[in-house]
Amino acid sequence: MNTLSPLPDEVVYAILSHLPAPALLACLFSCRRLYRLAADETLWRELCLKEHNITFKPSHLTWRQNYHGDFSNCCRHLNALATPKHNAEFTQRWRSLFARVENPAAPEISCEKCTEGFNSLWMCMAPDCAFIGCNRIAGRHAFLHYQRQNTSAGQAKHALCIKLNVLEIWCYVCEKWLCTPSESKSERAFVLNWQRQLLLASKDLPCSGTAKEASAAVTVSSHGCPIPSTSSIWYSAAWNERRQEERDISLRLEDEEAYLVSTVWAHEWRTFQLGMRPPPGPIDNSNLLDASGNVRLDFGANIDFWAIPESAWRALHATYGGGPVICESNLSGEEYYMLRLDIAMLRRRASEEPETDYGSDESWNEEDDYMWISDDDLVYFTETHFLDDHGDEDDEDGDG
Amino acid sequence: MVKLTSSEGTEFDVERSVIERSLLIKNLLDDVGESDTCAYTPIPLPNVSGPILAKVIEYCEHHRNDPVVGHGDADAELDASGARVSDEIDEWDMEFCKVDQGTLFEMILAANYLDIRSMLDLTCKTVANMIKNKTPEEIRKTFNITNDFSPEEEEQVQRENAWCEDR
Repeated sequence: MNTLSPLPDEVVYAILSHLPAPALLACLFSCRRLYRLAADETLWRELCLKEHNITFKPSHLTWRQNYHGDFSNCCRHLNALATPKHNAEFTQRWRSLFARVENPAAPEISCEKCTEGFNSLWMCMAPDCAFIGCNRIAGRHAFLHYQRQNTSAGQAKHALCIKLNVLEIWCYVCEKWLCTPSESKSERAFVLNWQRQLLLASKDLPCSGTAKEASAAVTVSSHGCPIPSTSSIWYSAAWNERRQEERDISLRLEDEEAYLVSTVWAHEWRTFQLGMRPPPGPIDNSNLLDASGNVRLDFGANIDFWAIPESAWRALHATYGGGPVICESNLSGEEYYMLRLDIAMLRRRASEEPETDYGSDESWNEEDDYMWISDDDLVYFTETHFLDDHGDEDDEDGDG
Repeated sequence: MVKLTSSEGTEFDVERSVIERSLLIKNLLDDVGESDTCAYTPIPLPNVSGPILAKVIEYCEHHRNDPVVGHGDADAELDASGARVSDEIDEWDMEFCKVDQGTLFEMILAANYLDIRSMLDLTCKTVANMIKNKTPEEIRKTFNITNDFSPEEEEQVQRENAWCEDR
């Protein structure tokens, strides 16, 4: 006789609640009754908390599937987003914000501490906080807000902030974007799912036709979606997946062969990365060539071109196409001596100054990136690192 | 003192403070009130046999000074400091549970029936330890379970969990 039979379900369930995941799986495979009990979502939810310290999951996964996800490098501050109460509050907050953005008669949204406009804004995601501040190229008010709240109790609470024009999340404690393909897959799945839900939650609000079109597209994939002509949250957020994948591309020029990209195109691409425009068209290096199609001699690194590693070129070229291809091996002639010197200088700087190197993964992921670029005034990015001030103490507006 | 009667009619005398670890009996005594009459009226426990009742009393005697674990709420498994009660079992408890499987399951049923939270936890953990590190086939053997999946069901369960085995 099956010796477990006399035990009522609740007791068998109590036994199963003491099991680690592999044992629970083994029970699942053993017979119908244990399958039914061991498949219980509450058990797997408990395991997610107990073993991974995770309380969130994307809505399309079961807790059992979620448990088996990839939580290395996963930001645990996302747990705060997973409470239904906070989620509802945030969705409501977002809806009213969205209605304001889409309503031409409403006053424009700006930083609470200065006059910075929509494209520079971040909102604190702490429950009932809703502070809106500007980014680090502008007044750094979002960051300063986090610093003020950064007490032992407030640290986790105000860790997350959301970039309004693209709905992307940054964690001040983990110091990273929360949706990078090379990081935790489970984190990415959750954030993408959360972003979509937020967009869908605003679907019924009055908004422009292009926004509606884009909102339909985000439910499929961002890659093939139409590019709306107006500036709106919709087009920005609709391209998040591509943006996130490209965030993983390292522009740091080390041992690889250098490829040249015209700064005209490169800046369009960076502006896209900042969520301020749709993706650029094909890579266009034509302004680096003279009338007879040879590489020009009168241009310089960072002013006319970026020198990027071959891997980055391949990744960008695979997505955007275009050309012509200009790489170091095309530049072997005597006349290109100065150009080769330029590239060698960039390469040396990359290896000697990892912290301030423009292409390092670190600065690429950093919000600091925003320092060198603004809507109408592009500062050449090598200069930014000379301008880059690392002092954080200019908190003159010390009010709460 | 309180008198308990097992299923076979055997009587047990036990201190009230000891047996009050059983919420069932505590509530019963509270309902009857403080009158002494209850001391002379045995409480019948038709679901619990004598040897098992003796084990239950042994458990309650040993743990008479433990803080009573909260009951019925979601926090029941959290200790006073808010940390999760560990799955470690102390030595006395371990010895206490060294019985054959049939007895252990009867103890579980008794702890469940008498509503002694900590004893139910202990006995359930002991069974959980019997399951850990076993294959499905070994689990079936341990509890004499017949595999009642149809071939289709078995295949479906395998498919459903295919991604777990990659890891």
